[in-house]
Amino acid sequence: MQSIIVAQRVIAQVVKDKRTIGMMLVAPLFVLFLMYTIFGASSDDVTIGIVNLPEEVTQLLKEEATVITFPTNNDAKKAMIEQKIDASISFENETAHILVEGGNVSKNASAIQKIQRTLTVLTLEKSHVQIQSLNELVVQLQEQLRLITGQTPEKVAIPKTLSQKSSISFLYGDSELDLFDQLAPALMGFFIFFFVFLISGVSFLKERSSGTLERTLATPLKRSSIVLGYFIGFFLFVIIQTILIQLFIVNILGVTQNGNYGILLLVNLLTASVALALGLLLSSFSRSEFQLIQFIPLVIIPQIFFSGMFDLSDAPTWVEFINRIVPLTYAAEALQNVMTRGHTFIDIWPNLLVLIGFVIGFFLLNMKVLKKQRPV
Amino acid sequence: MIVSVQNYHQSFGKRSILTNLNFQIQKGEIVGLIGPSGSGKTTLIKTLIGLQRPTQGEVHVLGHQQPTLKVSKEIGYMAQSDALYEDLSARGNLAYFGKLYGLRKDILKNRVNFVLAFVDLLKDADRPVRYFSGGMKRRLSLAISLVHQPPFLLLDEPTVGIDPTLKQLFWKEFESLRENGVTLLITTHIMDEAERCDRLLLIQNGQLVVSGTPDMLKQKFGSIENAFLKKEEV
Repeated sequence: MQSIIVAQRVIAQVVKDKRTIGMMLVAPLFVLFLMYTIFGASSDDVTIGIVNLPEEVTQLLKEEATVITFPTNNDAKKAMIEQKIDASISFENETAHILVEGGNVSKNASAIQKIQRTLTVLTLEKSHVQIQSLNELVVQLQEQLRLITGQTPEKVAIPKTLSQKSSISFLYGDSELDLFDQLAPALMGFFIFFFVFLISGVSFLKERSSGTLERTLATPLKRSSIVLGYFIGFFLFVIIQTILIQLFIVNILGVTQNGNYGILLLVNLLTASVALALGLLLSSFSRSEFQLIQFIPLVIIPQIFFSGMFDLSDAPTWVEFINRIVPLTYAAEALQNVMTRGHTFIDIWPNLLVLIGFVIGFFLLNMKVLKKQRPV
Repeated sequence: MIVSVQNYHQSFGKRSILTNLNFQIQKGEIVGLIGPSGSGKTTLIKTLIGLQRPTQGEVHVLGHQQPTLKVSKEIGYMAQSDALYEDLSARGNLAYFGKLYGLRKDILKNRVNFVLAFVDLLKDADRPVRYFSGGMKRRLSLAISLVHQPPFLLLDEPTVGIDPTLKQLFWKEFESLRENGVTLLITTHIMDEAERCDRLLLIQNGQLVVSGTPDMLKQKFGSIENAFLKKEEV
């Protein structure tokens, strides 16, 4: 009951503070939209310079990339220095010489891939032609044999050319999934975590630095009611924020979402709860807003690495250990499994349990820290 | 008896703040707690409210040993700095603390209006506190300490930073509260305020050096200011 009084006051305060509302509701959407646009802006189009290339190769390469013809290797190199082409290819003695620019990893990889694909097609076509001429030769030989011996020889089975086609299908999603689709669940978790942490931390800190926390502790209010009250008060805004972010990512940006909408919301709200409890706790260890901000590179940024955006399969044991003790690992794993793989409650409940554990743990720690301010 | 302090020591880590304090406060007194800055006045106040546990000795307030939540309701507290919610109105601040002290809805409204009138803030009651002047904030802080009608008031430098007119008003209010049987402990280092107290406790270097009426101190040292200065030389 007492915590409701605190919660009501927190709500009244936030409503009157337009900046905080903006920070909570508009800022995450803005950042996400920016990110969505930027991820969509990169292309794998490459320009390849060619020198002295057989016509058939040029034709094949044109299907893959933009092609510019240069009279000599030096001209091609000059164009590469001016960053007009990403790679160049020339033929000498039946060998392809490829020069790659080397400054842009993704474009270079794309250029190499495209050239190699062209050369593979070329080889296959050549062998196809060779096999066909061999086959014709066999038919001619059989005809001559018949003429010489007067007997019809047994037909020799002529091997068919290898099929070049392969079919790829996906267990989850389809080939239309792009980078943002893959990162979106982790990003969603991270942004919810980050913004909730920031706002709850700063607000509770304000209470400390303005003296109102001490003043409140001079009333009969229980310590647990203070923390719980703050939690409840902010949770209301967190619900709105989380729904907005989820709506934005899933419905407006159209990120692939194969899971249950309600379960996704549940995971997001638990993620936000962990951030809320952590923000309240860490503000207890800061004397100013600046000191709280100092926690961000220490506590928040490293969690990006564990949010599922990076593959940690080959990481050393101690990294795996950190990975297992930070909350965002569990949140991101659940989010990715729900959104991309369509997992349901039965699959992800252990993750949810861990998140609840974090909330309770931070909450109890916070009460213990508050004991320094009032022993009873 | 309102306050009873026996063999009270307070230290933080190795640093000793208050040593061997012994004194009592009776019902209906205005007791002035005087002493230079850093002498430990605020530390004593915090222990009396129950914000910290005495390192040694016993501190009883209204019959309960501190720290305990049992007497929080009986104490009105005004901190040295205005601890107010700047985004809320004066009424919002008062209502919040009133509710925390457990005032029922019907009583709360009357009490809020009563204390607002008492500190002359009725016409600014619904403005956000961040637009308030320093003096208005002090008045609101006093009103908050009174909202639940506590029999014992702890006021930590209530008149710092306010003009002489407002100071006069504050002291008239303190005296009228005393008429109603309220006990007040007020910290100050302003001599003319000290003279208006019924009794003075002079703290220096963490020790209670003199306790007596303003007249007693005057007889002994010539003036209260002398008491303050002489003792500091020792």
